[in-house]
Amino acid sequence: MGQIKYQLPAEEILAPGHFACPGCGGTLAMRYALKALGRKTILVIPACCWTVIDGPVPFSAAGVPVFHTAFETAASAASGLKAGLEMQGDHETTVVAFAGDGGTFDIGFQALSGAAERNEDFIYICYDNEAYMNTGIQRSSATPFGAWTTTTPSESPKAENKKNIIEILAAHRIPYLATTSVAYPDDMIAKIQKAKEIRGMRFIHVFSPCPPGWKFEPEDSIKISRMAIKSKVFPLLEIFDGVDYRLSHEPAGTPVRDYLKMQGRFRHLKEKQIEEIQKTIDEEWERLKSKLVSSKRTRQSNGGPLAKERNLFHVKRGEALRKE
Amino acid sequence: MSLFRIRNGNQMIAEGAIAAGCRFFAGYPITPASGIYKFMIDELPKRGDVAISSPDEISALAFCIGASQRGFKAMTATSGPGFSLMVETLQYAVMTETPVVIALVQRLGPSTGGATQGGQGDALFVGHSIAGGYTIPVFSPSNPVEAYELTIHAFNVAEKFRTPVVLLTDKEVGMTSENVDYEKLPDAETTGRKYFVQSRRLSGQDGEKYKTYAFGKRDEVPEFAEVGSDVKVTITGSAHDMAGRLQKNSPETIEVLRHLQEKIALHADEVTKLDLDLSERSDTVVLSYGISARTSCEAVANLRSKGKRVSFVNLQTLFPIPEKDILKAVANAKNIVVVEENMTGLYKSQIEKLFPGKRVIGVNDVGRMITPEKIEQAVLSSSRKDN
Repeated sequence: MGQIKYQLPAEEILAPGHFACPGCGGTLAMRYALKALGRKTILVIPACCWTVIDGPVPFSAAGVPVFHTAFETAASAASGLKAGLEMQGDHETTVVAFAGDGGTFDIGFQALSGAAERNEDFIYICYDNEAYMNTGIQRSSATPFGAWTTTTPSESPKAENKKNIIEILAAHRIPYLATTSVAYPDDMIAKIQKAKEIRGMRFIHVFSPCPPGWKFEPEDSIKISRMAIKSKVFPLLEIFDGVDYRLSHEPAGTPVRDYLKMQGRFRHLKEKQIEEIQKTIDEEWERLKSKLVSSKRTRQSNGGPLAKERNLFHVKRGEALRKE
Repeated sequence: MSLFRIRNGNQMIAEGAIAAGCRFFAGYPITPASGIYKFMIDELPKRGDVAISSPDEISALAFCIGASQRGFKAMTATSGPGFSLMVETLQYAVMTETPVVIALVQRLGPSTGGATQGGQGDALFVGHSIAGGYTIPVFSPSNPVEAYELTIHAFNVAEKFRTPVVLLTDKEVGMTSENVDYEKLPDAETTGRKYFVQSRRLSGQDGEKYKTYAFGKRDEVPEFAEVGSDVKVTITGSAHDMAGRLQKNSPETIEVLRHLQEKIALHADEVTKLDLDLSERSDTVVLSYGISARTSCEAVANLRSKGKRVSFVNLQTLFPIPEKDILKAVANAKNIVVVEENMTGLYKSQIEKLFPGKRVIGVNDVGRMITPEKIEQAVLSSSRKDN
């Protein structure tokens, strides 16, 4: 990352005095996202930790308008909100759905898939803390293999792998997908600013550690985020049009053991399970590498990036209405 | 002998379910019902039974219906927002005559409402959640012991009448822990659904004759056979005849629809349960349910110690409305006080038409619990008006 010289926007849009726990990854994600997005933004937040973090009405820490919506509706409400803005001739305001992993991978997935298929013109940011943290740490389909949660107790920790949301969304061929981490604000802000310039559906997946849910000290939040990147648990990526893969950062490939050992939620793991996790990570990385190689080959033969501006049906619809 | 354990209503619903023979649970996180989910995830797998995490509430109830159609007693638990999502599948359970129990731990609504704030705003929503006005049994425990007893009863009713049943509690009953004396818990008497008789299945020809929704008299419950077993079982949420064939409005289909209502309504006496605490010659009767029944209980005790003759009805059953028992309890009273934690007196609106000529007073609040003092004041001022 050393070679990226990036000036973070100085303005703090997220106000102090929010309700987050110390060391909350989801709150850092919001802070950096707002720096990148600026004030002309409307947030659509379904049920998640951020329902609470924003503060009780009339107080709001977000610094931009917040549209709190039902658990399963972030992408649909954002679609409607964007259509409403377009119909009023507002093409400037950025609509951002900001949802946790439960509201993205599970209950909100149908709405998300629908919005992606229609190539709706908004940014969807998922802050992924790998479980339902706001209701007391229940497993979601984003919870990784082997993790403890209150509904995957340590005697029988989660037996399934984390759902690969990035691959699923890539299969929708949306214009822009990126994964990022609160440990690398320059990477995160650059990607969200890039997303802001692209039209159509954009999805940003933010790896967001949760001290009470993952069982580590709040001051280790950034350290753990870095470890996740270095150990290839969470690759930093960009995917254009669902096919053009770019790696943002080549990780050192440190043993996953070091990452797991820092968190109480993995304390019960036996050596054999740790090896199994390492094996899965290595296999996934090989698969990713082959996609990176074939993307590069395609880029070279096409002579440039694949992403391009889309014609958006509902934008046209709005314009037609205004003419009448 | 006593054996005390610290338990809350959520835990006792889970224990009641296991005692009733529940072998399948599907859950989705939601405050204040997650405790039931957690308990079942911890307990059922130990017994070789199944507790699963669903990706949303629609799936949670649909999971249960699938398991129930293979003969297992099944339960899910949720709160208002999750129940809202379940309603289509709940209606499907009515139409397919699927036994299933839903624990609904109420919070302040509407919508996301107050996730950590109690409330009793869902009684009519639940009681009238079936298009066409079909009755589903709704029970309302007011403490952990009742939660245990009524959960067992809920499973029995679900099985016997092949119907979805809702256990309607609230955040305070669900999440407040207190001493429970296990020695005093009743033995679980459990019933299962009536199966299509094995001997009649033997020949293929007889197998053909099985009809999924066949009944003799309209209020009879069809015999159950597992879907995919050796007789043809057709499960459908569409209007159907006795064999499960889709028909819009054939006479037989209309009979099936009437049957769905009558099998519950004509057997209300077997379904309903009330906890009556009547005083002789009382001029006032207090009716309440859930957490408000707890405070009403205290208010009634205080009034009696002051020499007031007050009767108390703990409405453990909300639907079908236990009309006969309520009328018996209020027969000699002039004043009826209905206590519930919602804005307008939801359940009061359902029962006040039963009492022409009597003064019916609602004691209500929203966003906070109703205090015994408030109930006492309402009772005292109502009897002052009599003098």
